[in-house]
Amino acid sequence: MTDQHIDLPQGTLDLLILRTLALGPQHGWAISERVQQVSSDVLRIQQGSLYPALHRLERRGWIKAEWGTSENNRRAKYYELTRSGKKQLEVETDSWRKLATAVAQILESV
Amino acid sequence: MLQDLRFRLRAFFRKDVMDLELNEELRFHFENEVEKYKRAGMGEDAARRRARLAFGGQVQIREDCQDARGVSFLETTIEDARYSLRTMRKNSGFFGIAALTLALGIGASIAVFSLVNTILLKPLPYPNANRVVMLWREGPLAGIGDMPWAPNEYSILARAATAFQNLGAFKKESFNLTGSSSPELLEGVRASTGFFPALGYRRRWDALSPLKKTSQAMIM
Repeated sequence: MTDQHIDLPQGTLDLLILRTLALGPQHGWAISERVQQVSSDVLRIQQGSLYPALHRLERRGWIKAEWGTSENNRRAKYYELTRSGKKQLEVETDSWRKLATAVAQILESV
Repeated sequence: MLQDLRFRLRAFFRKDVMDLELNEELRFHFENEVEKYKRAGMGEDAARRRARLAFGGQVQIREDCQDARGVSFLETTIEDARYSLRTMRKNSGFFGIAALTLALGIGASIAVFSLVNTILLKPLPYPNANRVVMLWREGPLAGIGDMPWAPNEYSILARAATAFQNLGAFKKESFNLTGSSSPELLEGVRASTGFFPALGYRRRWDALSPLKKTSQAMIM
């Protein structure tokens, strides 16, 4: 197994979770799997940060949780984006784009 | 905001339920992880070991989740209070003395304050109480002050003084109250006609109403 994954910068975890949930309700494991797959194995969310983040987002009202049945017929907690969560996703996506552009500009200017 | 409060309240009052749910959630995650490694061709034991390694400390996750739910401050405070109560019960002698000291201290402070409040802080129960003054005579040559006035001195003063709206004199006196039961000695003052106007009451009967509340008053 190659060690090509990098640590998530502070604050991007929320953005990744919100973005993943924008595709539809998911349980925690699926969220971390999806982020890992879509990022070609570069980004990995540790459970130790995933679940506290999910609770934090739920507290802020950006996502809501509901128990459901998983693909393999087990009880699983599904998280779903709320309306204020959708708005938050837009805000965070926007500010992330700005940050990334700014950092890229600085890196290329030198 | 409301959502936040509702979430925190549920997290606090339904803590055991939330913990159970978290446990189930984490177990679900773990089992899925194991499945994944098994699908990748690992044996049951190897897959479990690998998943456990990736999982990290469960206790840590649980604590972090509690922090994220925003109740840990409340929980710690309650734990602290419980601990204090337990300690108190164990050292009841020490606790008793401490409580007694506190009680006496608070009691003494209240007593002193109510005294100071009545004597110094509360204004006198007269209209325009801040304009009522008491005049004393001074003997600068003899080096003595705060002397009362002799009757003839007062009548000279009363005729000459123009700085005051009203001027009145009083003299401490005790009276005997007699009636059907045994007589009683009453402490009071004998006052001149200017006394009640000087205190701010037009007629002396007006003075009765506030005085009745604090002590027994008698007007001769």
